[in-house]
Amino acid sequence: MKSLFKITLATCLMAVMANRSYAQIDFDTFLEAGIEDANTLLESYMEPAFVGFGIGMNSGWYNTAKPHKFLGFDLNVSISAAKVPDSKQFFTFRDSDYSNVRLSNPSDNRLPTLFGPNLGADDLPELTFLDPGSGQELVRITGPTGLGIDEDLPINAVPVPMIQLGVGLFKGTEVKLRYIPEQNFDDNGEEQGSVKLFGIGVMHDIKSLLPADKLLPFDLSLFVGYTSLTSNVYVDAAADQFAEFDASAITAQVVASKKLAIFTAFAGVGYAKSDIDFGLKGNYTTETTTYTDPVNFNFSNSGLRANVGFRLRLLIFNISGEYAIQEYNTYTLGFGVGFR
Amino acid sequence: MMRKTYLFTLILAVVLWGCGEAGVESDISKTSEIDFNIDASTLNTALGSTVGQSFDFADQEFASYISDAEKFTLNRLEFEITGLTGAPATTLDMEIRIDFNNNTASQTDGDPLLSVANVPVANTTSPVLLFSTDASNPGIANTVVVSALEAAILNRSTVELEITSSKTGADLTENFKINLLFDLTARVQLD
Repeated sequence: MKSLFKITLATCLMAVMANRSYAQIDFDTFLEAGIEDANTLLESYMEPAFVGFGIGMNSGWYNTAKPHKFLGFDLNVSISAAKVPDSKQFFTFRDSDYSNVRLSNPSDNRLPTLFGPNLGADDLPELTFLDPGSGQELVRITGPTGLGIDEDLPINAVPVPMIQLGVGLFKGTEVKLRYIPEQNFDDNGEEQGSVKLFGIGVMHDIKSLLPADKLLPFDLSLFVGYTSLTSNVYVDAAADQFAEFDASAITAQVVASKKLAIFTAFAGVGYAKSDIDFGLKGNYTTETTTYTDPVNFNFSNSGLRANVGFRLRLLIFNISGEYAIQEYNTYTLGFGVGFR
Repeated sequence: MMRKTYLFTLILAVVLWGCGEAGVESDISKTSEIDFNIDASTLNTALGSTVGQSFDFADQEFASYISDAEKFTLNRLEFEITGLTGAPATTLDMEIRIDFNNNTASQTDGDPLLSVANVPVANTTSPVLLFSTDASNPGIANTVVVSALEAAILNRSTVELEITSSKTGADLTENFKINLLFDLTARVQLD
């Protein structure tokens, strides 16, 4: 489970530490150029990671439209992959959006996002950082490169692991819980950070509300789910510098499914919304200035969400897959155990 | 400078794993200005006046990046003349040498980087190009010495930059500065 948390954290927090040349080495350069510019650049660069994570959090809630019977349950782990659209592999750098950062060559203005290709320095636009006071050039640095994930993996996607428990209540209602109590990490006694997860979903059978429901050859439910993940990761625990990540996602869907022996096919349609707040907290000292809480931004995403999927039930074991169509199409693979 | 942390290393490992064998490559470029004070009286009386400045480019300009640098490139070398109030009818012949052994400046040590003649002794309005990697305007520098300088920076060596100048024309009545502008790029590779 700890590994699961770390994967989650890494996904969320690769944001700040996206690559060494832009975090460990040059973050102070960002700050020297001004907090607003640092936020603008980082926000554009990291957008796919955060938006994808928020979208992925709304996946994997169900693999059937039939709620459990009373006290029936299932425990499920899943991994969702929110595929980053090709259009989000690059962003356009506009000098007018920045006060103290300029393109060295104004015509070369397409920079990779975090989920863009991993380009060499010769293929990356160069940014010129100016001193906010004098306007003189401080340094020129090639833009941040992308991770180039699809060079090694079959899909360029933001991974979102999840664990949840579903329990049948009464009158065709099932409640689903996603819960991880606050977990603290340390490395040889050095505090690293924490993460906690809470989510609740309710599935209610609405087929019974329809006339002639017994004649309908499938199950039909309404589902509403909410997920919240909060994480802090220390940049420097002794200096009380940390990255703060708050993500929440909500979805409401109508779900239909049809069971054929051990195979269940399901489909859903509805609305999904996600919000991500990210901040770099604490005091950060560069050569000239100390900045407090220098990076803060928010990403929101909302819209129609439609999905199709399947479940294979082998004795008490479930294997499920889901494909959701939304701004970042999402693939989910799940495994679990269930009863009733 | 922000403190480096183990967390960065942890996240870096994830990111570099994501980047596969290619790693992360970045160029960091800076212009280093090195000023030489030219004494008018010395220039008026001596056949050739030599001034020198020891400079550690790696430590003074690229300390944050040097441990991950795989090469340095001298993109441009320019000079400026500043500090004059008048415009005497005088010109300079200048030779710029680099002493990789970092000895005291003299006319006999160091490797000649370039020479330039008939430079008007007047404040320059913009930097004057001496050398460039731009093939269409390469300048006049000794490329062997340029390469040696790039290697010395990578090896974190302190070098001594020396300017020997001789005047032609009227005696100078005021001191001035010759500023050398080294535009350098460090290529950083993180695997």
